[in-house]
Amino acid sequence: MLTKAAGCFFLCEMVMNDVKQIVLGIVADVVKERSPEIEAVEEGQLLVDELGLRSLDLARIIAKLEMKLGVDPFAKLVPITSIRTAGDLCAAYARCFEAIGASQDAGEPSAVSTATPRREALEAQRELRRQARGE
Amino acid sequence: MNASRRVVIVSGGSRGLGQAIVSDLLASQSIAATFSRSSTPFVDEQRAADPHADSFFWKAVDGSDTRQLEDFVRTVFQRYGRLDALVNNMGAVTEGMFTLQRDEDIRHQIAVNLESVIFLTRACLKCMLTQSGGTIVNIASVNALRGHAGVAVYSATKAALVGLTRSLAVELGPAGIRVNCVAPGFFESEMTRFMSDDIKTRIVRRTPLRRLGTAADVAGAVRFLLSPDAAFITGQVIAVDGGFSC
Repeated sequence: MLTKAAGCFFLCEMVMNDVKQIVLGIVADVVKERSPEIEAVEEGQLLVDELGLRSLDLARIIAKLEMKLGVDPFAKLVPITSIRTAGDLCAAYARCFEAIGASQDAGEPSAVSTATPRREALEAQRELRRQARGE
Repeated sequence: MNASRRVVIVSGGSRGLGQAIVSDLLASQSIAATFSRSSTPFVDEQRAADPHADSFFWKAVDGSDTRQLEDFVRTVFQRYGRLDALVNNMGAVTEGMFTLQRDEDIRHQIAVNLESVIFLTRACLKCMLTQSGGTIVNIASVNALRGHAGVAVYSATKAALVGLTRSLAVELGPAGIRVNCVAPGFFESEMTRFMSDDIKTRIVRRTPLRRLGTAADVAGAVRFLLSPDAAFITGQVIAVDGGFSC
């Protein structure tokens, strides 16, 4: 259920879990290409030192997430240099959706640069909002 | 839709060299997507022959608008389900002594020849990074390799493309993305149409192969770099100039 606080919409915990699962899933896909023995990714794991990812891997992950979710938190909102763990990545996308929600609630253009979503990304966002409303 | 044929974006494909590159792609059964501010006879002809954009896609886009460029790339990627290559052909030149160049002409050349290329390339690379690879060909100029009077800003922007090519080739090679550069010499085009016969004669005399180039000469080099025959070539500059710069 969407709750409104301080003029902002906050996605409920269930919806944020969906975003987290999408982010961790794509991270895991890329990690497995380099390290097939790693089966799952946890939020606390360091992307470089523990998961063995390189800059290009991170660029690929963010490109895939932009295609899937239709947003790019690093275009303006979150500095890429702040990302150390898989959890940092999840938090960046959560923050991005919160910012978009806050802008929509205020009837203002989003301060976050969003990609024009693919049909699938639009559907993913609509599904997340439906889940937030408990539908 | 997931196209079974190669999908290539060509900037500035509505006329001149870009038109030759697009025509070459269509002849090789590729899907060619291009944009320009307004339509041209070539674009109108292609759209009339292919009203469902099965092979030729065009959209009115202001190449200096980053958001429009990004939207164009996403539209193409959504429509065809893939993006195999980008040819950065769009370019502008204002000739004249450097100290007499107007601010707006300087900024326009930088915006068209460099900034737009960077933002278009970034948008295309995001698509390519979600696939197993891709290819980029940047159209630079022989002026990036040798100095000529009257084209300082243009030369600077084209030399910048060479640096961009080499850096991106190193950065993206591990992702299976090749980035190369074609540096055309002087060839019959809108840019050289106003050259005097005397200047053209001097150019031909300094060219080992003793002629001006053609758009087809350059398109052939682009075709090669986009092809599997160039699968182990990246970060390179191929001058298509009849030996002018050697």
